[in-house]
Amino acid sequence: MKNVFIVFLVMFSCISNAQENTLGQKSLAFDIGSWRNRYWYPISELQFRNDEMFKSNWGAEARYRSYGSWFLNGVKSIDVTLIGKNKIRFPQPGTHLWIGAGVDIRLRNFNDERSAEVNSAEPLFMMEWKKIINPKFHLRIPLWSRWYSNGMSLSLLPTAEFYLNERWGVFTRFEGSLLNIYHQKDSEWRKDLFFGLRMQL
Amino acid sequence: MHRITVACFCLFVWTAFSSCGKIPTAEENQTFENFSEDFESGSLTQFSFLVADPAVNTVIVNNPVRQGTHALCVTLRPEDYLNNGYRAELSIYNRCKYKTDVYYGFSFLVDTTYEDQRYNLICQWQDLPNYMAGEGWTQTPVLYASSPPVALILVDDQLQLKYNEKPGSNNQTEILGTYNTLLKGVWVDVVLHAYWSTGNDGFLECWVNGQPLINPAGDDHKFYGRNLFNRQGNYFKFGQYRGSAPPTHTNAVYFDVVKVGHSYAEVAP
Repeated sequence: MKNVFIVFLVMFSCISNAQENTLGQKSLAFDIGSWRNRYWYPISELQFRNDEMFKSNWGAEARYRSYGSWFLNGVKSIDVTLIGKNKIRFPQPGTHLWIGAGVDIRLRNFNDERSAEVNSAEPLFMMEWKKIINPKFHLRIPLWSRWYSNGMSLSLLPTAEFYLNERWGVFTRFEGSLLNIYHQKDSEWRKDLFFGLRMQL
Repeated sequence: MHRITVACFCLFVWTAFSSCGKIPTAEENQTFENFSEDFESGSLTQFSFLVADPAVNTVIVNNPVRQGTHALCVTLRPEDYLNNGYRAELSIYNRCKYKTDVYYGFSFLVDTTYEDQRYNLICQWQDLPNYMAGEGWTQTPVLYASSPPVALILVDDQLQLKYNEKPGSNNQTEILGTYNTLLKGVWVDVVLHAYWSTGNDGFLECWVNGQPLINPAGDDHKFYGRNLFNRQGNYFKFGQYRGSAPPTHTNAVYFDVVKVGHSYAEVAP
């Protein structure tokens, strides 16, 4: 897995003919998934992204994720993620790096004797590489780390975005998460896959 | 101004880290409590009910009994449709946790009037939604239905131990062992030993009337393979489950001395 990640990063940074962004900086995305660990489970998500706030290097993201539904109406289990980020521009055109922090809020309302899940909020730190291959095709590789009282998780969210025009685009995103409890050798891998539509605002 | 900003940032980080919850994944080697129900008290409060009418489907009787003076009669009628299937089941939770070593024991008797050759799940160790990954029981749309990872099935006057390794499948089960000499009106003692895991270190071991049910593989009678679909674990239920096709007759199966423990000796009838 580590080797795959390294190869992917090298390929990503070596893509030639990269170009500057010609699209707006604010966007709204809706996506559904997911093919989890060998089974389908409906998840839907709404994401707002502003890559350039106040004409500065600062940006922000907000994400609402609903489990058990493709229609954003889940009431049992919801994640809300808020992130502030700062852009570092690479000398190579069309390549950007963001570094940011935020909070990941888990809302759980199972009301089920078999579940011990409760509401909680955790700090989140992130890095994101973005490569503009051409005006229509963008690649993003966010890396999120969430910090818990008894462990931490790392999530890699490679996203390929294809813009049909200056307003609309489609994308696919794979989410691979490694959850690790402190002082235990045993880690859990989780995988999800999403498809979505992005609208430039 | 700069110092105030740094102090605020440090306060935010400290607050964030000190208030965060537990990581949503299961720890290894969790503890679980032994379970025992011999039906002598006349109460079924230890169980969760998956039955249409408890007064009809789950009745405590004086005869037949395996031990003591009482047993449980589980009756399934053609109209007992509940939660997407024809069923009358009692369930026990929190006894199939991730990476725990657990023994289950019970006795059952198929009534002499039992008719119907189609499959009937006498007990099953069914998966749970992965609550820790946000999942629940209700989905829109429904995409996920599967056979239980482990089940004991009454079919064609045989008792089969069936295994399903695929979370998204309900027709690719594997028979791990068959008990051919199942007689109506005779008590059958079952013990199942499981190490519950999402990996290949999971195993199953089963005895019927004291004899190993799973064919030997190497030095023992264990079957190794993933027996949890996720780290939430399974739950144990027993009774009668006939799937989505209605039963043709009203059938009764009796149960006695249902136990969950840490060793064979603790649970064997």
